[in-house]
Formats: sequence, structure tokens, C-alpha cells
Amino acid sequence: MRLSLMVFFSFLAAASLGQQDSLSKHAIYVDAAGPGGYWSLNYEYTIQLKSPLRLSPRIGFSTLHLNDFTQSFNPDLIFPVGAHLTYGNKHRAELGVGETLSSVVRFDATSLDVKRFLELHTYFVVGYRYQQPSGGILLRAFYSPLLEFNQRYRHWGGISIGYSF
Amino acid sequence: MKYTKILFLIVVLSASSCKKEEFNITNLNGNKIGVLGHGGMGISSNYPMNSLESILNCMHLNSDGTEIDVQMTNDGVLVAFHDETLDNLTNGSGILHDVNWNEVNGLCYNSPVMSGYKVASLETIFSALAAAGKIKGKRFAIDCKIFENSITFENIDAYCNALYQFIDDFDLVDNVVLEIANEIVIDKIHAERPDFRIFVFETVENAIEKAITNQLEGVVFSIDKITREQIIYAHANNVMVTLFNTQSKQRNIDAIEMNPDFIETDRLEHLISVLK
Repeated sequence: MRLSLMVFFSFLAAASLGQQDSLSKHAIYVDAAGPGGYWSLNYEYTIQLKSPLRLSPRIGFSTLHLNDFTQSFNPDLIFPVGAHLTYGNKHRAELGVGETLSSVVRFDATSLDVKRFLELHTYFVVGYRYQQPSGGILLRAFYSPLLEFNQRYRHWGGISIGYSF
Repeated sequence: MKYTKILFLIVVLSASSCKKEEFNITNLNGNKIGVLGHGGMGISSNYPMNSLESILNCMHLNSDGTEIDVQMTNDGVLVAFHDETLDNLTNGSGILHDVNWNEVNGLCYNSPVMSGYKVASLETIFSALAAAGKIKGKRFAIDCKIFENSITFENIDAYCNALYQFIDDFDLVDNVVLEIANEIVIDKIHAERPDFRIFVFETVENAIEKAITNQLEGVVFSIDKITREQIIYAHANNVMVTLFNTQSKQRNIDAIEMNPDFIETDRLEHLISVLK
């Protein structure tokens, strides 16, 4: 958690190095697997660092169930939040780190009742990205290991498709 | 006029596609097929099989009950769990029968990722079901998991005693059926607790004959292992039949057409929508 926050703020500090006007700054993409679990819908804002280096803070959303196990509307909420550094223009190498915040509804054996559990999971990303600096289709393939509950390491990965503008 | 015709056609087509399939069911369960979950919501659910959440979800969908895999820890706690070892399904390791409950308590299922669903004791599951009012009138098929490596007379004795105690404590004699593969265990339980209902889980011929000879309630098979004729034969001899391994909608339909008494399904919502 501390490590990922340090890296995140280092990225933001580096962002002051400069920006380009022609750069497409916004992107929306869907992850299959990845830091959001089995899928996630993500928004990303891109900051031009020293070309061809770019920083992209992202926030996403996913869920496991909309109704809980008592059939009440009580969705699990999953938010992957992080910062990704890309190097290259059309074809880019990508490195990233972040935290996935999960709010999952489980059964609480103590109270014998439904309870929402808020938990953090650190993720890392190493991968490839296809994205024109001026915008258009965005494709990613990546390895994104998770430190689930910030306790146990899980090999994980994913692919993305989206659009930058 | 043209649009009216099109609208009429759409309405007719929608109505015909919504029509429930009709099945001619003749069995020993009052000519109704009991809809049971397989370890709760089944093998392909987002809830892990045998987890408390999976079982509660199954019961809240108005199923007739559920199958639950039951094993015992080294210190005598009954646990709802499928595999012999903890390694594949959880963040723990070792053979479940060799470890104590305090080593199992708190272990999480590996799937779904970041969900944190925990392995549950049978006591916790039935306390939760009782609190939710989901025991009365429901059927719980306890699949007695005693693996080859742990079969000794002492272990069988301990397992059976823990089961008797549990069923008596929760007053479940009318709600529970025991699915047992091991003949020694069947004979022991049948002799010691003739009030318990037993389903034999063996090869088809052996199981049906065993059930007939010992006047046991039924047999349980994968849908692939039994024919419709064998089910007719079982029914003719007053032996009920439970089918499992229905992992798709088509296999649910195939199972219904075989006319069993119960189906333990992996596609629970579909089977409920078809039969209820």
C-alpha cells in the first residue's frame, strides 16, 4: 500500500515536466481480467512526460454480483485505481502500480448476517500497449500480479480494448 | 394495417417463446422432480461450491434444497468441502482430514479473485440457514466424503458419530439424506440409525441392487452413468433416483426427460425456471 502510493505520487510529480497539445488525453477501455478481477470498465487520463514517456492515472469499476446471496440488491463494488507509465509512441511498453479497493458482501459468521467487507489489494502491471498518441483504438496485453488482501501473491493478467480521444 | 400485422406476429412469437416446456413426470416423489443445488449454486457459479454464500443463495432462490459435500477435520469438526486436499481450492494446504479446524477456519477460497469467501463448518452453515428460516420443508443431501486414504474403522466411527450428533443437534432427521459411496459406512449407518435416509452412490448395478436389498431410500448418479430404463427399474423397486452433473441448460432438460426424483444441478436458476 505504502509502496504503491509512493510510486503514484512520484508519477504525479514527474508529470510537471511538460505536456503536448496534440496528445489525446482521455481513454476509456474495458479490461478482461486485470486489476479489477474478471473485468473492469476504466477511465484513464494521460499526462505527457519527457517524450515518449507518458503517465496515465486510471480509475475503474467492476462487480462480482449485483444481488447478494439473499437476493437483495446489494452489489459488490470493485475499484482499481493506479498510475501507469508508458514508453513509446504507437507501440508502447507499460509499467504500472495501484490499489484495487473491493467492497464485497459476504456472510459474517459472528453476527450470522450479511455484511459488507472493505478490503485493499495491491496490483502491478507490466505489459504492451497499442495506442496512437493522437487517439483512436487502444489495445493492451499485460501481466498484472495481485497482492490479494495485501497478503498473498497471485499471478494474474489481462487484455484490454478501448478508445482514446 | 401492415404494422398491425407485424405487431401481432411479434406478440405471437414472444408468447410462444415464453411458453413453459411441459414434461410428463412420473416418479416416486409425488410426480415432481425436486430441484437441488449442487454444493449450493453449482460448479460454474461465482460463489464457490459448498461456501456459505453459495448455499444461502441457492436456498434464497426457492430451490427444494441442496447437496453439500461433508468432510471431517482431524479434531472432529464437520466441514463443507469438496476436495480431499485444501491446495487447489483455497489458500491453505494439506489433506483436510489431517488438519485441525483451527487450521481450516479462516481459509479463503481462491475463486473468485479478491472475494474472500471462506471455508465453512457444517455447524455455521446450518446456524445461518436456521437464522434465515431456510431449513423447514427443505432437503439437504449430505455427500459423505470419506476418501480412501483416510478410511480406517476409527475414522469411520468418528465421522459417523459426528454426523449423528450434528443431525440430532439440529433436528434434521426429516430434512437430511445421506449420499454414501462406501459400503462399510452404508451398512454401519443403516444398522445404527435406521431412521436416517440413505442414497447409495456406487456403480449403477451395484447401487440399485444394494438399495433394493437393504431397503434404502435411493441411489445417486451422474446423468452420464444411468439410462432411463435403469431409472424405471429403480422406481419399479421403490428406489428413488437423484441425478447430478447437469452443467448446462440442455443437460438439465436431458435430466428431466429421464424422470428422476431429484436433480442436483449446476444451473439452478434455469432448472427452477423450467420446473417451478
